[in-house]
Amino acid sequence: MKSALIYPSEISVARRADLARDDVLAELFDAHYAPLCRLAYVILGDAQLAEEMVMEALLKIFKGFGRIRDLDRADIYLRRTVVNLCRSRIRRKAIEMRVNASVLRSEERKGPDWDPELHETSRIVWDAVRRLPERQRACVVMFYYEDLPEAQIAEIMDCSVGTVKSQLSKARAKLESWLGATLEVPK
Amino acid sequence: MTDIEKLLRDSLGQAGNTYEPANEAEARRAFLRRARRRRLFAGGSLALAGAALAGLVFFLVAYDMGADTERDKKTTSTIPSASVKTRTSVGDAPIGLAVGRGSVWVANSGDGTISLINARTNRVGESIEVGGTPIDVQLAGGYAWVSFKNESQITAIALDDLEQRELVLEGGGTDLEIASSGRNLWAVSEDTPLQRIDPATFEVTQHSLTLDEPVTLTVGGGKVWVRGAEGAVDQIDEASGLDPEATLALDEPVSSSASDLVWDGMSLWISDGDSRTILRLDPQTGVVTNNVEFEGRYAQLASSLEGEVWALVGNDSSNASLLLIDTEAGQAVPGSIELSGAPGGIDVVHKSVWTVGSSSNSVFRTELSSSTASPTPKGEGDEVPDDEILYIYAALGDLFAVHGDASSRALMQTAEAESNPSFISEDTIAFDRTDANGEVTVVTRDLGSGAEATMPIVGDEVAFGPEGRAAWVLRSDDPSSQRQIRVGSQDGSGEDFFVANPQFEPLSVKNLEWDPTGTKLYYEAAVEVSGLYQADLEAGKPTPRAIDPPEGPAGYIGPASSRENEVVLLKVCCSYDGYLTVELGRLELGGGTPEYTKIAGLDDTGFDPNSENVTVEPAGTLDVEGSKEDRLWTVTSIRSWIVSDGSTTWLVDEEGEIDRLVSTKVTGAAVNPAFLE
Repeated sequence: MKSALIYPSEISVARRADLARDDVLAELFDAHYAPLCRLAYVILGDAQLAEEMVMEALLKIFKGFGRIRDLDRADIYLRRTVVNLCRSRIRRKAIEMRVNASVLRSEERKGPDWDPELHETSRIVWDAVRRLPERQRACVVMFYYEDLPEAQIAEIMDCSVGTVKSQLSKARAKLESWLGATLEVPK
Repeated sequence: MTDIEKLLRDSLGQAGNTYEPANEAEARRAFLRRARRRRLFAGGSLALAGAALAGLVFFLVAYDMGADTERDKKTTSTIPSASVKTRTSVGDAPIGLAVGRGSVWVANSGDGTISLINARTNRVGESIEVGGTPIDVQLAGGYAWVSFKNESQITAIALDDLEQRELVLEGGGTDLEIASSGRNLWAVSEDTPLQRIDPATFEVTQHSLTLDEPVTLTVGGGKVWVRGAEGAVDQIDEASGLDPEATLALDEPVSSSASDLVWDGMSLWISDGDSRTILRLDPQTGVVTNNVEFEGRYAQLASSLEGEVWALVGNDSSNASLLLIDTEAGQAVPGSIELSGAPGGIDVVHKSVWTVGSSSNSVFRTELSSSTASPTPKGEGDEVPDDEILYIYAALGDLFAVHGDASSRALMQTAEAESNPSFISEDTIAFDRTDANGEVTVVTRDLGSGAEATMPIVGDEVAFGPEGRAAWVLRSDDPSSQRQIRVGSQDGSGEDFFVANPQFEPLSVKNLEWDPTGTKLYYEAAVEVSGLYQADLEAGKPTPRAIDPPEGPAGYIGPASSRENEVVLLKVCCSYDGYLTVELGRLELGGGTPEYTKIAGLDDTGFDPNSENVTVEPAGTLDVEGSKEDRLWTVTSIRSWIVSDGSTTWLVDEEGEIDRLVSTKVTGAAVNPAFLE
């Protein structure tokens, strides 16, 4: 019969690797959790949903931990995962959502969260952004909220810089037409 | 920086800065805990994991079995007489569902299988491995078509032998949205153009859309409706694939989140997860005419052949609720039916609503009793007895009877496919039955006792005439030879004649029709353009003659005869590539040149004259009043015809009035001779 014993040296090697991994994950979490939540929140307008998206993104990163060779680029992977999860969440109907993320089974969420202290103009603009198609919305949030350069947005969105430019241009045109009649655009 | 850019930076910055994640420390602990747990399972503790899983499965099964009877009785319904009839356990994480040919096809996303439920016994008969993460299933052209998560592949499963065939669509888009028109499959995704797949050839045709970023689609009313991320709806002609219509720009903004789309025969319905409303759109203008609110994040929609709209609503964490929408009033019928598990797919066939409980790994069958739709017949003329079958139609491989009380019920549901119904007498029908090997037999059924018998007729397009006579097209293995028709008796014997004489090139032949005297046979025969033929059965061996009127280029299809020397037919015009116009007309055959008179134009109804299944049946003095649930049946003095294109069926009367009878996937209809002149 085959021995079921595990030698102490093996345990310690495995344990050491686990501990190191825990440290890295904790560092990743501390560095990125809050900013990513804000990114997801601005895209989705739902705080609880945003936090769940980020948690899922972090767990996905953990799952692919062994394949990440350059931890300095973890923020790119995380942003891409969060943006993709948010986009997916926005555009896919229920039937596919459940396939995507069983962890999303949580309490029913209410509509967009809203801070009453937020200025009325900002609220109107944000509402308009949330009516954009998901790809344009993600580009707008990353460009105007995250201040990311177009090249980095293209990398995150897995598309060309030209596509990012055209998405931003379309979005601006739409927002101008929607908001022009409602707001007095500042000069 | 432009004004709008400044506004965006300021406003989005303010929005983001007002928010801080709730309890970050707890989230951190939860993340590390879940990460360690995943590592534990991945790290080789398979025995432990297996035992835990087995225990969990045992617990869930035990819980589920115990809950079946209790929970499912707990409907909160005030929907009249609706109740959950059965619950069937299927594979892991079921999502999409389609009903047809007496079976329910369920896509199980969790284990890569398709469960096949026998709709008569409500039991799972087959579990078909397809791999991957199947998310939707649709039936079209003899196949069940399965789409997958993260793949641009579609798997076609032959309904007859369950053989699988894979098709990878160009464009690279994944998570394909698919919809069936009965004849063709349509697919689209955000990154994939709209594509039509012909099940007969597996040929894929791409079509351009006006809108960007298609999200979902449905087929109905002769059109493919595609919804874009911005809420607009594109409409494509289902027969031609052309996009002649303007995109419907909705008059109210609709979010692009969790949504579904369905056509009820008259209107388009869209669910919107953000506003939690189901909207009815005017298909001409895009104006939202009704808003139906629902609880939850999602609403999956389905419509019945009768035009009822059902919605399965809920969210990921709660049980689903089934709603019936009163399409006349544009609001939900009070009450709902609670079903365990998060909402998955939904399909409606007749009075059975099939729904998926995704997280409970179940499929539910909910039925409305026929008493909910039983208006008392009224109107001019003699009343139709409640239990009298007015007509029978074939749809989705099953036969359905429509009774005098306007209720409909499944006449038979078997694992085999039934089609092409006809009445031999007021009490007996005949139909084609296709078995699992594709063999077609002609079966008779006594409507009183339900007793069935197989007819010794080997042929197609069987038509029954007076005094027990029958005519059918003989089968031939030689495509280069001219087809023959046998006229004889129901025991299979008879005399044969060629469908055209002299014999030029072989003609396809269909829609055989006796005249009421039993002395002539009419049929449609074609190489490219359909033409009408008449065979005189009195003078020895029949000599067929073409009877198209000299009216310029046109095709004549689907003859129906209920008076001597008269045929009612569809006149279609005028292209070899696809017919453009269609009208119902009458052909007088007394003596000289046939004389044609138009009865009604069908161009505006969405009728598809290019369909394989175009038929015209005499409906005698059958008439329709009202619509949908209010539909009443009377016998009047006005002659009518049932006209079907395989997708939709209409009743057209002699005065040119057109009523829609049933909306989808009808392949043939036959009227009870009790209502014929």
